Amino acid sequence: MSSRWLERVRYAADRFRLPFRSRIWRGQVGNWAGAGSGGSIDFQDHRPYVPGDDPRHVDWQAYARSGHYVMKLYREEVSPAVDLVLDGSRSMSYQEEKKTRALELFAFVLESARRSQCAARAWVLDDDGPSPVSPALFFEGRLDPLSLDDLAGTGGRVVLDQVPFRPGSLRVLLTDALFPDPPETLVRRLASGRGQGVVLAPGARSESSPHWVGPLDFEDCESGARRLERIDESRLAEYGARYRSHFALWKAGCRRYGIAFAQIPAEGDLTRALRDRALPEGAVELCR
Amino acid sequence: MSAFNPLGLLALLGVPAVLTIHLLRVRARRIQASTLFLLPAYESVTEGGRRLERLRSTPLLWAQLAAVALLTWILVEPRWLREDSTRRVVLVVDASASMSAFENVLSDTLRENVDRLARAASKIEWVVLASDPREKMLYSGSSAGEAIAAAVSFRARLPRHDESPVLATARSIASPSGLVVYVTDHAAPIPQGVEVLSIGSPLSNVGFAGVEVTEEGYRAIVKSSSGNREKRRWWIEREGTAPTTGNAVELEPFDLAFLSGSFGALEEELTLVLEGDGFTLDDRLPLVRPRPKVLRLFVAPELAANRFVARFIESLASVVRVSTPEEADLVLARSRESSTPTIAFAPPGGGGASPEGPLVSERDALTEGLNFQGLLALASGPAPGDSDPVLLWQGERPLMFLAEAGSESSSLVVRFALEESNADRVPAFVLLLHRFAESVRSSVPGFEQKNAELHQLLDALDGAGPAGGARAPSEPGFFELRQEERVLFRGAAHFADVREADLTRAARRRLGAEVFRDELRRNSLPDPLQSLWIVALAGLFLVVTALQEKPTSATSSISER
Repeated sequence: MSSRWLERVRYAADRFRLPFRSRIWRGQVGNWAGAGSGGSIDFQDHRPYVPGDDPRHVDWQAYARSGHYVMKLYREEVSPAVDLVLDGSRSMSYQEEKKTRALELFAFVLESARRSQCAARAWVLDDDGPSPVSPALFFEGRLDPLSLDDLAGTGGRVVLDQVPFRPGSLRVLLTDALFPDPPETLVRRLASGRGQGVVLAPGARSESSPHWVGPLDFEDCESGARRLERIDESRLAEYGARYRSHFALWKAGCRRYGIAFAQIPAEGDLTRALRDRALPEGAVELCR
Repeated sequence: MSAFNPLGLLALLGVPAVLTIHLLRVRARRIQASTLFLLPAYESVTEGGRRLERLRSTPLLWAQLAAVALLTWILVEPRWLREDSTRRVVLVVDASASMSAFENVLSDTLRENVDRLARAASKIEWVVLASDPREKMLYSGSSAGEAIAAAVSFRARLPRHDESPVLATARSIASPSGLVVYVTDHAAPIPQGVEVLSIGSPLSNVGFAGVEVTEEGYRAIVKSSSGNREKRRWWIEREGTAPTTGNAVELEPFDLAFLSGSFGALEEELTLVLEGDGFTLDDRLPLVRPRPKVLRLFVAPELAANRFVARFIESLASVVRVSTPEEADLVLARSRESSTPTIAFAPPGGGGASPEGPLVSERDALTEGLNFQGLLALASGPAPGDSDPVLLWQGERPLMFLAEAGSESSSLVVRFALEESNADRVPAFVLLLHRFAESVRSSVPGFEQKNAELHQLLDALDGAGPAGGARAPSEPGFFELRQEERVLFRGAAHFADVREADLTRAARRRLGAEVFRDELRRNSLPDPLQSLWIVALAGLFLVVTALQEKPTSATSSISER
């Protein structure tokens, strides 16, 4: 992995991070607001004293007013777990730009988790199931998770049933969502176990705005199947309508489960793409 | 409607080309795609590499087909015949014998060209002539079929001849607006205002080119008109007997060979035959044993001892001496004493003036080409009458003249004595005597048997009796001339024109396309909407270009949302 490539990822990570602040997390002690009470300085609530409580947290002012021992509770600060799943289908890598963008997003998520002291795990998903990826090896440039030699492909489908998501973790799914299955099953799995979800979908302009005209010999990048088609303006318009409808369905499905969905263009700068696409959708947030 | 430029129909090849382009998908660009499940599948979609698809009716297809049709229409340059268009076409058929080798293709070739010419005018008046100026007009009328039939039925047998007088006549018949077509078999130089239709093609020919026949036998010449080595069988056909077994004659390119033989003891005729080839006129050589007409001769006693006269009589063929002038056809004497044609030599010792002045011969058939210079003679005999044509003058004095010229008793009068002149050593004098004797022989009735070339004027009979001006037949064979039941002449006609037999330079040449184009241009009107079609074609090209280059941008993209 070239240093320039990594610099671009770090530059983006300087400005954006995963949406840790906008959620309530569970996990080990860390920097982010947890779901329970903890040792932070952020007041959360009062409750009656019970034997065994730390007397340092008795609210003496409340005791003066009410004559009862009232414990002052502070927000728990935790480090959320990040589970990253990379769609290993061939559609993610058959175009160099799109593959690069997928790898940039993969690295961005891992870098963002590292900076937030989150425990990150990563998998690449193919027909053989999820294969764990070592973030350390990835950053050392010794592993290309989208190398076709290492993947068996997905046959165009993404199935998360075998991914061992940790409870309450932030699940980041990197997929182009280019398969005909409806998104509900997949999105439900992302949100299961009190998990939070983010879907980042890299997409190329050649997919959204193809310059197809005349007789074309199509080869499906997933199955290798061939189709001869004559494309004219009307068919191209029909294709565009289906493309928009497909991603509108994905966005609606994700919203129903509180999952951020962002299409990230493969072309252009990563930072700009995150700012323009991921930030408005809540898939990333600004670093302070 | 007629097509001014039929080659323009080639533009119709654009129709299958356009359809093929639209049918074939062999050039479909191969594209790897990840979103095929978003592309709706139609009927034409296949998944197995099919290269042909159903022809789809698209505006581009119809625009291209319309452009091809319009382009064809413009290139063909359609014209409409004027109803009042009338043309005269004169076909001059070459009468040379070499045309006989191509009679089998004459009909088809004429029909093909005549039909095309017939389509170039509403009404055509056809005139058919032969290049033989003696032939009458073969056809005149409005029927193309009858004109062709007249040309085909004509038998061309003439030797090489000058066709320009007939072509000039044809040109005048056609008038400036008409068309003259010379139908021949070789690439003749094109006379001004005449189109050439040549139907020939190079042929190898071997045939008889001449013969020398005596009463004893014959010596025939066989000539090869071929660039290759040729071998031909030959045999003899005799009346009443089977043909002799075939011999073979081999000839190098353009070589000659001789075939010799003799007549049988009582045989009067035979035919030499060569194995047939494309030109058949010279493959048969009929021969008769020559039998000259007998000339009955009376020699006056005073001349009987003259050595010159004796040698002269010996040099004449088929002469019979008779005892009285009345029985004779020709008399040799010192003076004219009877009504029989006579050669009268002046007696010696008559004196006469010494020779003065130049020797001048008058223009006459008897003196044509003769040179009398060197003749030394003293004119002493009777002087010619006013109506007697003088044949030879010396100064002011006639030396020889014809007495009673033109009559049956026409005589040659020699006004000097043979003994007192050197006439016996002057060839012109001897030839003159021979010519006169032969003219007398030809004018008297009698049987003659000889060989002649095809269409040859039979000089021996020219002007004599019922056969005057007769010619030998135009086909090889035996023939007779009769007066009532009496046979006057028996002969054999053979082909002997070496130039006509040489078919190596025969050539084929069709009427040029410009001839038909000119005819059509004269007799038709162009399409009045031609300019409009050109503008429409330009518009169609723009439409086709626009349809081909129409942008096909997608209706949306990620960045637009």
